[in-house]
Amino acid sequence: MGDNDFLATHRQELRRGTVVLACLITLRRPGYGYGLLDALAQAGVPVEANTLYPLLRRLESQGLLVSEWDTTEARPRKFYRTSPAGIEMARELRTEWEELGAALRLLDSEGDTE
Amino acid sequence: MTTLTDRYIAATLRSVPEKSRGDLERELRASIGDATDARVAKGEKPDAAEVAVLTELGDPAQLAAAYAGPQRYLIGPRFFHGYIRTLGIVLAFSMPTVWAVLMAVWIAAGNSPVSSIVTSSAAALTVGLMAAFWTTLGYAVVEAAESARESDGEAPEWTTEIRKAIAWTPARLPKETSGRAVRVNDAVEAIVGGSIGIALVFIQRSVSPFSDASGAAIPILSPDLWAMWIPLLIVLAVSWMAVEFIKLVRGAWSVPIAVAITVLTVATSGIEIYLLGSGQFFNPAFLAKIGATGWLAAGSPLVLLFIALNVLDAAKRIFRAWYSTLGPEAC
Repeated sequence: MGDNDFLATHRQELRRGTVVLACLITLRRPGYGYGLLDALAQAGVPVEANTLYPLLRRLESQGLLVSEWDTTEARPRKFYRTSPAGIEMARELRTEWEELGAALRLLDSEGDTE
Repeated sequence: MTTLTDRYIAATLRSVPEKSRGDLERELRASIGDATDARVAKGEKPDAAEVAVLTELGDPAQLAAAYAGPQRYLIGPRFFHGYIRTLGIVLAFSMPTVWAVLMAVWIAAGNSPVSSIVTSSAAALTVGLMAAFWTTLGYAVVEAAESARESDGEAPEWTTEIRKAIAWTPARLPKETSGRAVRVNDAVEAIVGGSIGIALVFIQRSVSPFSDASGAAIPILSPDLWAMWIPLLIVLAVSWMAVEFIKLVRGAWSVPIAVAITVLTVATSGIEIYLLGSGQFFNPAFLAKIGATGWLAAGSPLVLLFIALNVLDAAKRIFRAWYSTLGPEAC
């Protein structure tokens, strides 16, 4: 395993939890599977389809997302929307995320002064 | 017409619970369709786009596993190390023991080396498979219990007790860091030794180097023992395995465990010594066949040696139980 492989592994570890947060934030406006996949990729949070689709159903079963079928178009799509519980969860996760970022910056600056 | 997408969806749904299939199928079909359309819009050919989308989604079995949630293994990382270690110990003990014992018996009975090797290897393999099966089943049950605990609220009731039994707390650390710690070997010895012993008692009824005039196998142990003594010894052996298992799970000796081991050891050795000493242990027909009637008659030196070894072994077990429980100060 070269350095680049390690980087890829660690980056994946680092990003894993952020996908949940990104979904909860993005889906405050209703979205469907592929549309969300594309939106996340555009926004710079790339995620594999085979990770995202099962994740959406899991978040739904946890009550963080709610879903509704839209059958008005030629292709029926399942639209997900972040539930109030999901919005609350996203708020907490985001605080956590920012605190971690601040902590890392602090650790980094302490390193500089030595 | 069945498209590639149809086949992919069918393959994925195969291992998904029935109740969520309809919804999942429609959703997956829409997602694959959307992704394919997006590729076609960028100028790819429809067929190639479909193949690319399905390739990206990957193995349907893995996708289905992802839909089912994270716990889709028989024995996960938590227990894998212990499982492999236990399996190794169990196999390393059971297979060579069975093989060597059967080889010795069959060669002693005057069978050809080839037939002895074939028979004992087959028996060793069977015992190995059984040992591997029970080890695997045991760990799978423990894993299922732990997984159920993690996926909160979905724990089936029967796992509650198992969960309690295996839940780790600092109290389960051995009291001492050296001598008095519970040795895994005790449990392995009891469970492997006990199962092999019980298996051999049954096997020797039908697999014997000698047959009587009607062609039936001549058992090594006296058939009269089945009326009472063998069932009793089996009950004692199973109890011993259970006590050792409980001790291993608790991770520490205790007075009740030491008492149980003392009682079981005294009872087992007592019965064995009584049967050996009174010449009821071996099948007279078997002894006659191998010409050892005199050697193993009641009160013969060999029988006395067996009895002495049995007493020593029992004394060692009982001493170790109390020494481990009470410590050097008390003994």
